[in-house]
Amino acid sequence: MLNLIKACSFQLFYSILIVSDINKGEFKLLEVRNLTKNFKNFIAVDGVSFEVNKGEILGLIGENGAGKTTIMRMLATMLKLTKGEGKIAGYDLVREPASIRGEIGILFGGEVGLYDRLTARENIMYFAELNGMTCEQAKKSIEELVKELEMNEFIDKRVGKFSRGMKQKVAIARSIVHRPSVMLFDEPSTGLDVSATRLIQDFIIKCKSEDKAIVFSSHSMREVEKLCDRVVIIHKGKIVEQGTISSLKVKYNNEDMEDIFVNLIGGSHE
Amino acid sequence: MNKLVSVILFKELKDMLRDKKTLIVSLLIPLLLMPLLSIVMGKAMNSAEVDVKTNTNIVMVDKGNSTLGKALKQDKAIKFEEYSDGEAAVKNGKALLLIEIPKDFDMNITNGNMSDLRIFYDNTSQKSSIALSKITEMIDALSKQIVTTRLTKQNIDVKILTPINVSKASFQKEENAQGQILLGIMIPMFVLLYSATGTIAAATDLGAGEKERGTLEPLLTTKAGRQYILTGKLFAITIMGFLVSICSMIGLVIAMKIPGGMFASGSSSISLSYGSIALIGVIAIITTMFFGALELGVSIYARSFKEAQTYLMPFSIVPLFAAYGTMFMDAKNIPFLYFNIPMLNVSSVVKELTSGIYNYGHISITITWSVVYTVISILLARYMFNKESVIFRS
Repeated sequence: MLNLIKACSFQLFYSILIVSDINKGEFKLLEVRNLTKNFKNFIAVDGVSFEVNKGEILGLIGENGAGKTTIMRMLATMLKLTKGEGKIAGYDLVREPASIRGEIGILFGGEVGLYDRLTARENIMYFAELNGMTCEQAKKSIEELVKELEMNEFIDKRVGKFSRGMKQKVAIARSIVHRPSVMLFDEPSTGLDVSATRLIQDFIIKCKSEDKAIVFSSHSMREVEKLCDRVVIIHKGKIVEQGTISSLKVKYNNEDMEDIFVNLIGGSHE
Repeated sequence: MNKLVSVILFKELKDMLRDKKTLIVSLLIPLLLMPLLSIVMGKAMNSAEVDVKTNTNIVMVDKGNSTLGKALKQDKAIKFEEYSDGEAAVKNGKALLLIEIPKDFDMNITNGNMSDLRIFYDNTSQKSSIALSKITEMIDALSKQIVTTRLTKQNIDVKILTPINVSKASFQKEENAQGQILLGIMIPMFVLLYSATGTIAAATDLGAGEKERGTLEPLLTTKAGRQYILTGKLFAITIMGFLVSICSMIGLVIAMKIPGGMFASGSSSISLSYGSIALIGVIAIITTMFFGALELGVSIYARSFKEAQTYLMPFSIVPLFAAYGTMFMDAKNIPFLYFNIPMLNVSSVVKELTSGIYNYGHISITITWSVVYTVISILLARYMFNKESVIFRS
C-alpha cells in the first residue's frame, strides 16, 4: 500500500513537471522537428526534435560522436538537413539560412578562431560587418561590449600575443556583436582553465538574463546541471531522453545526473 | 562591388600585408632576387673574363721556337707555366690550356703547306674556354697574316677570299635584339611561374589556414553567403599573386638594366610597348585568378596548413614545363595548337608580345581560353567550398 502511494505521488509530481515544460512553448525561439543528417550511409543525427524558449538554456548532452556538433552545425546552417524542419527566430531553417545566421551567435570550444594579425576591435568589427551591421552600428555595439567584457586595455592590440582569457573575451564579443536572439555554445569550455570556464559560464547566464534562447552542448554534467534548464540526451544520433534536470532526477529516482546519463546510454564506450 | 565581398577582400589584404613573412617572401624576394642574382652572376662572369684576360696561364710546348710561339710570348697577359705533364696540369686547373706547336711548324708555313697545331683545354671550365677563345683569336689573326703574305707574293688580291660581302641590317639594334630575345625567354616564364607561385601562400592561408585557426566555422555562420566569402578570398588571392608578378617583373627589368650584370652590359634596351605591357598585365591577371581559384579549391580540401603545402607543391613545377615548351621556340613560328592548351597558350602569347608580335587572333584565342579555364577553376573552388565533406573533412 505504501509503495502504491509512493508510486502515485511520484507519477503526479512528474506529470506536473512535464506540463510546466510544455507551457513554456509560447516563447519558442528555436524549434526543430525530425532533424536528420546522413553522411553517405552513416546516420549522424536521426529524427531529433526539440525546442528552446526565450530565456531558456537547453543542454545537449552526449558522448563524443553522439551527434551534438552535427546538430549545432545544422542549427547554424553550416550543414544542410537530410530530413526534417525547423524554425529559428521565426525563420525557416531550410529556406532562410542567411536570415537565421543573422539571428544566431555561436561560440565553439577548443581553438577560439581569431585572426592573430588583426586587433581585437578589427576581429569583432569584421564579423559585425559580415553579419550585416553598418559601420556605425558595429562601432556602437563594440564600444558597449568593450565596457561589458572589460576589454579596454587590449581592444586595439593585435590578437596574436593575447592570453587565452583575453582571446576568449574577444571570441565572446565576436559571437554577440550583432545582438543575436539565439546563442549556440558547442562545448565552449573544452580545454579552458577554471577562470576562462567561469567567464564563459557567466556569459551564458548573462545571455539567459537577456532572454536569448540558448543551446549548450557539453559532456560535463556539472556544467550542465549548473547552467541548463532542460537537457536533451543524445546517443548515436538519437534522443534517448529529454526534460528538466529536476524531472529527470525524479523520474529516474537518482540525484546524480552522471549516473542517469550513463544508464541511459547503456554505459557503452564504443 | 558587393559590400560583403569588399569587407572580406580588405580584411584579407590587411591580414596578409601585416604578415612580415608574406611581405618578405611574396614581395621583397621577387623584387630583389633577379637584380641580386644579376649582380652576383655578372660579377662572377666578368671577374672570370678579366682574370683570364690579365692572367692567361698556359703550358706551351714549342719544339721549334716557332713564330706563333714568339707572337704568344709577346702578349704580356699570357703566363707560361712549366709542367712535365701539360694535360694533367690543365685537368687539375693549374693551367688553362696546353698548346703543342710541332718542330716543323714554321717550315711548313714557309713552304706554303698546312701546319698542325694541338690545343688541349678543359671544356668544363669557363676560364679555360675563355683562354681558348683568346688563343684561337690570336692564331686566326696570325693565319690571316700568313694567307695575306702568301697571296701578295703571288700577286693575288686578298679580296679573292671574300667573294661575297654581306651587309647585315635589322630593324632592331644588336643590343636591343639580345634584350628582346632574353625578354622572350624570361617574361613568359615569370608570368606563369609567379602567377602560380605568387598565389600559393595566400591560398594556403585563406583556405587550409582558416580551418587550422578555427576561423572557418565562425565565418560560415555569418550572414555572408559562401559565394561572397569565396569571391572576396579569390579577389584577395588574385591581387596578392598579381603584386608578386609585378614585383618579379620589376626585378627582372632592374636586373636587365644593371651595368655589369648577368644580362651583358646593362645597355640592353627593353622596348616593350605600353600596349604589350597592358596585354601581358591582363593575361597575367587572368592567369593569376586561374591558379588562385585552383589553389584555393585544393587548399580548402586540405585539413591543415602543412597538408595544403604538400598538395600545392606541383603548382610551382607544372607551369615551368609550359614555360620551357616555348622558351627556345621562335616567337614567329609557334604552332596554333599551343594557343589552346592551358598555360602553354599564356607562355606562347606572352612570348609573341615580348617579341613585338601583335597577332590579335592568337591574343583573343588565348584570352578566351584563359577565361574559360579560369571559370572552370572558379567553379571547382565553389564546388569544394560548398561541399560539406570537404569543408568539415577531418
